Amino acid sequence: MTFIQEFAAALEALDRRWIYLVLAASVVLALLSGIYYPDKPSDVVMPIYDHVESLPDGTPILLSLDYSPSSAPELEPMAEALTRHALLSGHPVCFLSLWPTGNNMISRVEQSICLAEFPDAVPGHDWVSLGYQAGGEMLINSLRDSLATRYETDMAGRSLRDLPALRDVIGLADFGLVVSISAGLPGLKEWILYAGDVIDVPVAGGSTGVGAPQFFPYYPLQLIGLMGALKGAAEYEAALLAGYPGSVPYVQRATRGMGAQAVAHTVIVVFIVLGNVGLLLSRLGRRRS
Amino acid sequence: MRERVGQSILSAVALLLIASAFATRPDGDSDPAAIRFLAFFDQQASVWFSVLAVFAFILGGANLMRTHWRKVRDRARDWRYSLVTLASFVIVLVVGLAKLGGPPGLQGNVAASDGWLTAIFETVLSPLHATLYALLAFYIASASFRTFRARNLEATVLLVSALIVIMGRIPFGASLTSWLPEPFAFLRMEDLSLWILKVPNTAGQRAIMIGIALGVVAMAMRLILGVEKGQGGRSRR
Repeated sequence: MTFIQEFAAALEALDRRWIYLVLAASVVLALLSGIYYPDKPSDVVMPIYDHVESLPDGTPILLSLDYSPSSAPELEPMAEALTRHALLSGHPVCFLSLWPTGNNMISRVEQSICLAEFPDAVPGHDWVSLGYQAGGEMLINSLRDSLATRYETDMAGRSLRDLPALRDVIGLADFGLVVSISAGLPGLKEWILYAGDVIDVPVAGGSTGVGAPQFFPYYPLQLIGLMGALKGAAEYEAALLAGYPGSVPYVQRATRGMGAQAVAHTVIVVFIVLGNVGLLLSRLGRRRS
Repeated sequence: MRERVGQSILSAVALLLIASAFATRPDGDSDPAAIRFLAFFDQQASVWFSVLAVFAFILGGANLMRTHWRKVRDRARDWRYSLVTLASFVIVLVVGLAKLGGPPGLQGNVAASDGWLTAIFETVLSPLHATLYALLAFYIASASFRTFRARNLEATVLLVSALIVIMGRIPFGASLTSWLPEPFAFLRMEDLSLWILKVPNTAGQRAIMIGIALGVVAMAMRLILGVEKGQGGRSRR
């Protein structure tokens, strides 16, 4: 057996544990080194930023956090960046969720952004947390005409009528933008079909990398913009950094995460190339023999 | 007879909901009564659906308890996992329903950030979810190594598309083609990656979506017309 054939056979029979080990070591090293790459917003993400900027002062934005902790590392940076942007530009944020885990996801964003970064922001005035209610798409259907049909109070027990943030809001059409950060069903698709398509409220979204391709058919007519995976969040952070230099952290959460993700992607590509080299060499070896 | 009553309710509700989707939203009392009725029915049906969804949670919980209790009682295979499931379910249910551990005292605001329910969420559920999801990265890496091979033309197209999308999503990939002059900017990795998502992916997704939608319409018609007998636990033998 020639050296080439031996090498090809070794690649073909590579134990998957080596792949696990190399990937884990690469990601851990990338995380420990704090490596990051500055990104730039694509033409799929930028319309969301531009739309928020174009809203009249004080127009509320609805942010539906439709995910659970499993996809939080990918999706939470989007929610954080959007909340940061809304509060910086003077738009009250109204949080709700179609997922049972939503209340906790909302609390996390409240803690990490609203309370930590904007100590002067007032709950009820600058942001409102309505929380989770069952029903999925039928909840959206109810909220179209009136929020009060399903929510009498916010999560803290304050009556919706007493909240300055929702002073001019009756139904979903009164929001300047509806954003669903979505990890599956019910989520962004339901917001497009049951809110955006029916009452013409602008809908934007964020999705996991696995889920993002299914939303491209809606862009740009039914969906003004889409943040796909951690890169989408990093692109939004880049737009925010360019628009509000000095007001936002230079390296935000998604930008930091993209360092490790870039290393992981590169490792996967190297393994794919190695696999194909092995296939090519074994074919060559077979032809020669 | 019982089947006919169920079928009639199903058909009537479905037809009303379809009609309400085509009716314009009423502006006030001056709108025709039929339009106002359809809008009212649409709203009410949404609320009824949500009430039913809440009852589904109760049924789901009861079913989970029964299934796992049987496994524990009969010492069936992997019954210890069922015991863990039962214990976790009961603990979270009791803490949530009785509002235990929420400030100001033993009972209070169950959603408080320093409450027991939040502690369970942050220290148990959240790490478990994150761990399971993180394992996917290893499986994806291993599966990519084994399956993305240029064995034939179709596999090669898939391989090249995957490589472009993967590389287009990271700064290193973008830097590989950043030297391309402006007239050839569309060949840059990040632009090619976005093009694959916007054009071939959208075409495929639309074909799937339209196919599914036609299937849903056909199934709905069968249900409304009473041709499909599989619902309600009764099937034609």
